[in-house]
Order: sequence, then structure tokens, then C-alpha cells
Amino acid sequence: MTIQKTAIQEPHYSKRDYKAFWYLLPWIIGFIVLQLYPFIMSFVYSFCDYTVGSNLNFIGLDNYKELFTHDREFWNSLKVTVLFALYTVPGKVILALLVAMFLNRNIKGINLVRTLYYIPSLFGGSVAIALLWRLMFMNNGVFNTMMTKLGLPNISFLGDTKMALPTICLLEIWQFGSSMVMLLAALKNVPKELYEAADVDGGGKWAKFWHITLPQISPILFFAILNQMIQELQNFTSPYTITGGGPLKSTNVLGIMLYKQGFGYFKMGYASAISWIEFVLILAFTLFLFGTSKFWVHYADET
Amino acid sequence: MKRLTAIALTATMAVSLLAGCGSSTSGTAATVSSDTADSVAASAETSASASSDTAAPSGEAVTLRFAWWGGDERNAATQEVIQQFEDAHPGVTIEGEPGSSDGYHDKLATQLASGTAADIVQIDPETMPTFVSTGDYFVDLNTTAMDMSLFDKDYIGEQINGNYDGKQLGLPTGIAGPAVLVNKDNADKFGIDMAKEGITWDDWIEYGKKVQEQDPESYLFCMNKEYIVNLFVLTMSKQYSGKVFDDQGKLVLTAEDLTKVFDYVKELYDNNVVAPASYQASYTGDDIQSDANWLAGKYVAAPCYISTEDVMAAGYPDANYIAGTLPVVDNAKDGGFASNTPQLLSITNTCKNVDTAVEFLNYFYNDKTAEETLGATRSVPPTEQARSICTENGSLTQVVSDSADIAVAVGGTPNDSISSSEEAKTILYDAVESIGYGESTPEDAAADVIDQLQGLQK
Repeated sequence: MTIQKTAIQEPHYSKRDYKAFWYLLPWIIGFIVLQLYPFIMSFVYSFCDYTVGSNLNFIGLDNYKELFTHDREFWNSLKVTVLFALYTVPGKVILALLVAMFLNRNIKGINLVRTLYYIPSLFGGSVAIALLWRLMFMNNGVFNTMMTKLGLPNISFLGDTKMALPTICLLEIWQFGSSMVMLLAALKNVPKELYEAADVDGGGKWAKFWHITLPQISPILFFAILNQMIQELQNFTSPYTITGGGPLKSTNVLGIMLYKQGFGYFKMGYASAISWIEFVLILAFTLFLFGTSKFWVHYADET
Repeated sequence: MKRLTAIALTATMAVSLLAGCGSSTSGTAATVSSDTADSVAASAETSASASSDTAAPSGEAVTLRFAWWGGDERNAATQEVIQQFEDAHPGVTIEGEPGSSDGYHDKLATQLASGTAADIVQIDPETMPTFVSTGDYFVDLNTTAMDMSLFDKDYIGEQINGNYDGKQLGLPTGIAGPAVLVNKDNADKFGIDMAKEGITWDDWIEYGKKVQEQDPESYLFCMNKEYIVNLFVLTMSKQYSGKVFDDQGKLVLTAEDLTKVFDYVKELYDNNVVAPASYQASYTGDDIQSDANWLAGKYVAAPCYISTEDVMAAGYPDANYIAGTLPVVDNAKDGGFASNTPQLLSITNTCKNVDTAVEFLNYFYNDKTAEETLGATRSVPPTEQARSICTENGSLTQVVSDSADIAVAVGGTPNDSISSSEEAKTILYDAVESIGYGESTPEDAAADVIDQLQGLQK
């Protein structure tokens, strides 16, 4: 009894436990040098006027003021970034869910089909795939040539200011594999008794989906949406490689603006300010998602 | 005990942070946010693959890195010259790092700032001012044993050709300027004369209309917004106003003159002298060299540079090519079509074997075999000796030679350092794009551009 009481009231590390820090040291060093230091320095730079190769001049909030009032591209880029995420994330998650439900069966060869659907997401933010996308969708690319052969009019996917952003979003949506795999696992975890109970009560397919499947997989769904949202708000490779921010800045996401300012014009302070605004944007979306989660995410271990 | 350890760890972290704050230049490579992790990875790769420059006395094993951009022909020729030098100098290895021009200067900027650039680098003379103003990266060749006697003193004395305040920070690789590559077969088919003396800008519009009338799928010029700015907008602006920015960095170009230039740009698009803006969107920058219409022979001419004429001609080899003449407005204050070197070769200050690097450059520029091998892959060679060798062995094609004569005859001042900067050019590209899409009128675009350019003044 006394021993238990001591154990509860005075937890302490034994000598052995300190060894853990030695094993953690490589990661701690990596974290500090490659993540914490750049993180803090970019915050410092965002308040400075820092041209690569010359000195650091502290200028306070001037970079941010310039961004919000004077910069002609900023508000457009902000809008484009948010639109990009709003097109891509629902598209990706909904498609992943639909395909996962379709593949949630035990017929022969289903594993092969699942692998095939997963393959596109293996390519990740690959420049090669982005170039391929450009070749497919440019004015005399694969799609337009096919449409000409079928007698349909050509669409300027990458040249039309209204079509360019959806076309790039298509590349991201095509890579839905990782979400699909997670949702498939979640679907398999839904207890079969619930479906049987629904059959007994006379529930149709839609009722089953809405009242059983969705709530049961909602934690994973929430995670998928959150993950994709954070990724897509930062996306740089696809828009940069396919359209370079054009046409007429309709695909000029914040990542591209940041890259041009930092590496084209060498204005590192300004670029750091942009990156911090992107960070705040992602934070805002994340907090929003967490806030709304209590209304629709159902955790089995909560009352 | 637990608290003590926690405090100790926190103190270590704090100290390492403060220690890290000391270095400003090496910090640059690390302070990139995760979005641009690609660029950091790229420069980390290059520094990892950088050969260990053994600081050894001559005669022992020396390794140099030589970075350049170019097409297949230039790469092959340069590699051959490197091989010739290595054969003549046992113990010296030169690692060639050829690349494409796309992203080359972004990478170079990062490498220069982090001290991992190659020993000998090829640089765009219009990007050079930015590098020179942000740091002391290059060796002054006047302080080395470099033999520059074969070069024309006035030519290498110009800032655009590597001479910054008396320091020779780079040597020109050739003489290049704007050129118009004309597909003579197409020109004859449509009944237009692109090589006539005294051609005017309006002649080009008339020709463009004529081509469109006869074949709506063909256009007069193969261009995109970058080429329109570099070859038409900047040259016409200099013809009207003499300079864009003066030597003190003040804007000389007026909204009035710029409106005339942008009116011309609008005419190019309205009369389909060039392909529609939405088509051009797929081919930005130097990607124009792979424009599908050009490769199918649907354009009559391609305004380009003397140094890229052969590359363009190789894209559609089944044609007779001639050099087109260049127009000048009436009462022009300046020829506008400046000829200067297409690239500079410099030795970076991080090179540990400057003497060997200078020996290589001496071989590259002054040796007859080297000149024969290189031919005109970097456009018309800068030395008289090289030019005569190339004309004799035919590597200097007739088209390139004629274009060089035409460009030199019209002449012009090179772009000043502000208007050749990335920022200024982006302002112009965006303006031309918005005129091309019909989003803004020439007056509004011109007023807007002047406003933005005023922000770039010194």
C-alpha cells in the first residue's frame, strides 16, 4: 500500500531513464539545427531588410506593412492559395472516400486494383509529373490533340485564366492514393454489427452511409482533411513547374511569390515575412478545423 | 535532478541558438522556409558533390569545377575543349557542370552566397550587376596571368562585358545581339521580304496581317512575352528615349514613349502577328525554343539572339534560313539593338587553384584548337583570331555572320543594370501579358509600369 502511494505521489526518473536523452541527442541536434534555428531566424529576418550577401537591417513591421498595403500581388496570391486549397482538399478527400468504398470488398484481384489506384500518389510533388501534366494539357498537348481528332473545339487549359487553376488542382486530386489507403483502413474498422442492426431496422444504403459509415470513420476523415489542407496550402512545385504563376497570376500561390522574392530578387527579409503569413494562414485553417470538429467528429471513447 | 537536467538542456539549446546567430552568410542557406526546401536540397547536393579542391602546387593533382548552361552542341564542344586541356595538362581534372538556363541563376545565386559555387562559372551579363553589387565573389582577372591581348580593348572595357570599375570580373564569350531568324521558304510563300533595307516596325505589322490572311494557322513571329519584352519593348523604348534608366539610376523613360511601345505590342496581338497570349502561356522564357508551332514550321520568323539562332534553326531544320533586318523608329535617339556578350566567364573567389583556372581560360580563349572546337556555340567569337578560324571552317554559319553584321550596323546601348534586373523585367513581362490578354489598355499599362519602375530608382 505504502509503495503504491509513493509511486503515485512521487514519480521520478531512475538513473536508467537519463540514457534516453543520449539516444535522442541526434534527433535533438537535427531538430535544433535544421528546424528550430531556421524557424526562429526566418521570424527575425521577417522584421529586417536582408539582401542576400549584405547586412541585416532591422526595419520592424515595414515588410508586413508593404505586403498588406503596397504589394500588388499579395492579395491575389492569398486568394489563389486559399482557392487552390478549397478546390483540392474536398476533391481529394471525397474522391478518396468514393474509391475506398468502391474498393472495400473482398473479390479476387482487389489488392492489385488498390495498388494501381495508390500509384499516382507515390510521385508526390515530383517535377517530372508536373512537366508531364504540362505536356498533356498545353494547347497542342495530348488532351487537345485528342479533342481535335474527335472534332471538339480546343480548350486552352493552361492559357485560359479561368481554367489554369482547376487544371493544376487536378494534378493534386489525381494523387489521392494516400488518403484512400487511410480511409480504406477506417472503413474496414467499422463494426459489422452496426450494419446488421441497420438492416434489421430497415435502413437503406444512404441511411447506412450517413448514420453509420460517416460517423465511424470521421476521426480518420478529419485527419485526412487536416493533413491535406496543411499540405495544399503550402504547395509550390505543381503551380511553379506547370504555369510558373501565370497566366496573369491566376495560379500565383504564396509559395511562388515567396520563391521569386527570395531567390529572384534576393529580398530574404520580405520572403521570410511572406512565409510567416503563410504559416499564420495554415494555423488559422487548422484551428478552424479543430473548432468545428466537435460538431461532426465522433470519437468512440467519448461519451 | 529532473529539473536540473531540463534546465541544462534548455541552456544548451539557448546557447547553440546564440552561437548560430553569429554567421550571417552561412545562415542564409539554412534560413529558407520549408516551402523552398527544394532549393536548399539542390545547393546541399552540389556542395556534397563538389570535388575536394586539393590546394596543391602545380604539377600535382588539381580539380576544378566549371559550370555553364547551353544546348547539346555547346555542351559537347565545351566538354571536348575540357578534354583537350586535361590531355595537355596531366594531373588536372576539370569537372564540367553543364545545365539548362532554366533556374541556372537562381541556383548560382544560392551557391555564391553559401560559398559553394564552381571555380569557373558562366554568367548572364545582365544578371552579373546583381551579383557584383551583393558581394565580392569574383577574381579580378587583371591581377592574374590571363592573356587578354587578343581581345578588343574597348569591347572588354564595357561594364556589360565584364569590366566593373576597372576590375575585369569576367571575360566575354562572344558578340551577340538581337537577330531575326527568317524561314525564307515561308517568307517567299507568303510573299514578304524580311531582309529588305530600311524595314520599319509597321512593315512587320503589315507582313503579319498578310500571313494571317493567307493562312490563319500561321503567324509571322515565334514569340512569347519574355521575348517581346527583351527584343521589342526594351529596344523600342531605347530607340524612343535613349535610355530607360540613366547612369545615376533615375528613370528617363516617359509614360508617353512607353505608351507608344505598348500600342505596338497591342497591334502585335490584335493583328495576330504573334500567336495568341493563351497559346504563348505554355512556352515561357527560353522554352520558346520548343514551341510546337515553330517545330512544325508554322512561323515565318523567330526574333531571337545571335547566340541562339543555331538552336532555333535546328528545331526546324528543313528550311532555308536568312537573317532578317532590324527596324529603327524615325528620329531614334539610340539604335536600341545592343550587341554585347551573351555570357561571361568568371573565376570565383572560392577557387583554390586560381592559377590553373587562369591557364584553362587562356587555353579556352586564345588557343587555336580550342577556338576551332568551340566554333560559334557561344555565338560570334570575341577575338578576331577566333572569328577567322570559324569562318574558314564553316562553324560560323552564314546566317549568324549576317545577323552579327546587321546588329552591329544598327547598334545600340546595352541595358542598364536596373532595367536588366529580374524585378524590372517581371514588371514588363506582366504588363505585356495583361495587354496580350486584353486585360489592360496600353495607356493604363504604361502608366502602371512607369509607376512601378519609379519605385526601383536609386
